[in-house]
Amino acid sequence: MDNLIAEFMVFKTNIKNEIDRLNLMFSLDSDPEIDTWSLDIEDVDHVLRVASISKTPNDVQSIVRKLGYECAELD
Amino acid sequence: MRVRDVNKEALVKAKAAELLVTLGFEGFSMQKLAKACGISPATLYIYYADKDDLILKLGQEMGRKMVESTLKDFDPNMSFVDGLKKQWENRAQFILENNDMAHCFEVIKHSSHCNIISDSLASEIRPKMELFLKNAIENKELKPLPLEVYWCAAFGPLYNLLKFHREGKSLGNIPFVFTFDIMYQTLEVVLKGLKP
Repeated sequence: MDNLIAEFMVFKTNIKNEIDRLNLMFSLDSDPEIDTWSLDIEDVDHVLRVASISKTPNDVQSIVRKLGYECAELD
Repeated sequence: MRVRDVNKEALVKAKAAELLVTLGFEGFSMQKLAKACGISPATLYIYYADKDDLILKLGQEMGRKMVESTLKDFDPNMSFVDGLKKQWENRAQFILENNDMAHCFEVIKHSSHCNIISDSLASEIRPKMELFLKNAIENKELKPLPLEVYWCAAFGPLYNLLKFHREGKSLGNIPFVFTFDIMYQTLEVVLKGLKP
């Protein structure tokens, strides 16, 4: 059986500071379906990238939006 | 979901090296890099988490290539003259063939990533250089000197010649082109100075 390798999903957000990053961290780190994630708060798009085999971009957007942040998939 | 593309990754690295040299560490951004590569910022984030991650990975890769090139056909048990000559040839060849990369590595070395990159490279190159110098001193081919003095005398002249070459001019704006003849002439003077 082929090993599945998670590819990154990339989103534009409005998560701009360390406190917001911590908020996000609690949700994403505790989600067993998320392999890894990172947030670039210094970029103008405050880019969030998430790697997961089972989650869809919609799932990630829904997690982030529930926390009160904007989250749109970057093309 | 996006997939990694090896050709695109190579383009990103080459453009990043070019931009880091022209814009400097502070002026460089992921958005500018994406624009210069003609790709979407989202694609860039497939490869790197952020600007720091990119610069660190780029620096580590460049450093590895530089170390590999410096040590090519070099044996720490060579005589001091042959070993230093080989290192001058390897270092000059690498810089002449990878001007952008070598210049960019200098920019990265002056950033906060300097230590992480240097530590990983030092572990590979240091034991060989230490043995080479120990042999040279024991065989009375090299006078014992503090490391900094040795390094400045042994390699400073070479890097200055290469700097003149990069700028296309030497002292007083005299046009300058590096040649291996000039390099060997300089090396001869250096070797005389380092003899016990």
